[in-house]
Amino acid sequence: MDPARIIGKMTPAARFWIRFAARRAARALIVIFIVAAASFFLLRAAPGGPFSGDRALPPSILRIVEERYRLNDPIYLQFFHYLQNLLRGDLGPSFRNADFTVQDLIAIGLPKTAAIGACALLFAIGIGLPLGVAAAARRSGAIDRIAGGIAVAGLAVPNFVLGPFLVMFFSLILHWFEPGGLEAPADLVLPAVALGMGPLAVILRLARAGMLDVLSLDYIQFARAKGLRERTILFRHALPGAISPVLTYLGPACAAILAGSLVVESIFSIPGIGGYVVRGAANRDYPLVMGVVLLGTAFLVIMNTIVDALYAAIDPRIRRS
Amino acid sequence: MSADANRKGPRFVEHRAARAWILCIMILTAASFAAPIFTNAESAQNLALGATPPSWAHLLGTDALGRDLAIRMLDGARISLLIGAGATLLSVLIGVPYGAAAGYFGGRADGLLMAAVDILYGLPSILFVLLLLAWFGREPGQSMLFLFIGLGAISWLTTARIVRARCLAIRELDFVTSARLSGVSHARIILKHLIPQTSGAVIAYATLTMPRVMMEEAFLSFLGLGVAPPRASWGTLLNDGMQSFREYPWLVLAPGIALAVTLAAFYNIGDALRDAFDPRERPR
Repeated sequence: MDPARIIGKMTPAARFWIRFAARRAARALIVIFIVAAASFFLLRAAPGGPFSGDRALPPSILRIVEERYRLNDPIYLQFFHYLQNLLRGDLGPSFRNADFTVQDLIAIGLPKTAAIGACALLFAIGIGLPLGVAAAARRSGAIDRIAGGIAVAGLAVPNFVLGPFLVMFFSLILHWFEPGGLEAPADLVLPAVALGMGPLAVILRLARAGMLDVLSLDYIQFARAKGLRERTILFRHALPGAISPVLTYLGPACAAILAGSLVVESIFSIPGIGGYVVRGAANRDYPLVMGVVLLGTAFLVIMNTIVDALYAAIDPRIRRS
Repeated sequence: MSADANRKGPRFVEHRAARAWILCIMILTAASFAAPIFTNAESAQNLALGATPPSWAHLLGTDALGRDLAIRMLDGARISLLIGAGATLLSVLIGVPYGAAAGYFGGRADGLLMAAVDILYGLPSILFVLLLLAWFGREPGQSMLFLFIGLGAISWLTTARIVRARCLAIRELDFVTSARLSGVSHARIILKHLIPQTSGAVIAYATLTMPRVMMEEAFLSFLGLGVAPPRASWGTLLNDGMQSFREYPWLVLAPGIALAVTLAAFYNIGDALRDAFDPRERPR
């Protein structure tokens, strides 16, 4: 059977999802290629090389080392070679951490970074969304005022200010949590709060504004007139219509959390990926920086795709257009 | 459209809180620029004094090198504000013509220009931070200039989107058609007729860009990539304070609180301006 006839027999929804997947995969590949090319060439254009550090190597050894990492090939050949390895899932050896490949280093750091990031995102959604809904349900009430305060504070207090403040108050004065490290699950609390507070504020604002828009619509009035319980109206009827701005924001939220983990890991002395990157960039450890940048990009592209898929799944109008 | 435009002035002036915040920013700016005139001697190091908690002689205390923190904070405010204003200006200079061109020409040109913006949105700005790290990880000289350029270059995307949306609507209006018919060039129409119409939204959004840029600057300085010593921005002061914040907590508290209050001021002013200029624009 030829493919055209199979597609012809499918339902419109199935056709939409196949086109969606194809278009998104193509776009993801383009984005990752652009990022790989841009960071590859920009990193190599930066002054200084990986082995021109404080302790200069003897010229003969330098030549061997550069030969080994193919640093003397023309730059486009180096790039081609990198892409070839990338397609096989090989991110190359780390220049500055001898005996470690980039995959090894990522495997060591990623679980910690991912744990903090996931907790931060859960914290932001778990508190921000219900609080936004509650604030909209009783406009100008006590909860709305508190939510307004949190929304402003969350935007105005950056994570690298909140982090030290949390340590000062909860570790050094109250002694509730350890001031740093990642030994017990409880150690996740402070970093996750520091990292999640900004996204929480945005989610709260978006959820509140979306709910206020929807709650004034006729079908909510109708639901009220039918005598439905307020909680059913809020969560069953209003929330699905109000949630799409929050969904859209989840992509940027992940980007913010990713960037924030750079500083939060250093504040709480957590040996995640962030530390490797900061040191790797200063040391011209090209493969390490590239590997982490590509990992981050791939993660963001996947998150954005999931968000758009959710969007289309919730709102049938998007599938039709 | 025009009904909104007519309501601009009075609604913002009525906004009491915003007026108070503007006063705060003006005082901070004036103090930070006036500080060097009065306080040259006191910002010097005084190793014998060392770190002292806040007192009447040193209102915010001193750091480990015996420098008066209040004076360093004012110096830092000057640099933070300068970088914030410079980068915001740059983001407007890139974003407004870009968005106006996309909105005015529409069609395929619009599709292409906005696709580029979409892709840049999808890229993590952390990539940019990492590249900055790689470039200046070792020698943080000329960093002020690069902070302007770098931060401006990543902050223009939303401005471009807002301006484009406005221009798409404006270009259908009669006065644009009449300008076209009387033979005015595309460039002149964009510069003289479209861009002035978008100024309200642009000013409102620029006020919201400013705190974002200042935060990014502090973020970079916190990672040790910002302005080079002996200059200091609030981010640098925070980073310095972090090294010893268990012993000398005031070194973190003061710049942290100052940064948070200033950012809150800009966000509040920007929100009020946006409400005044366009009630429909919502924060993303």
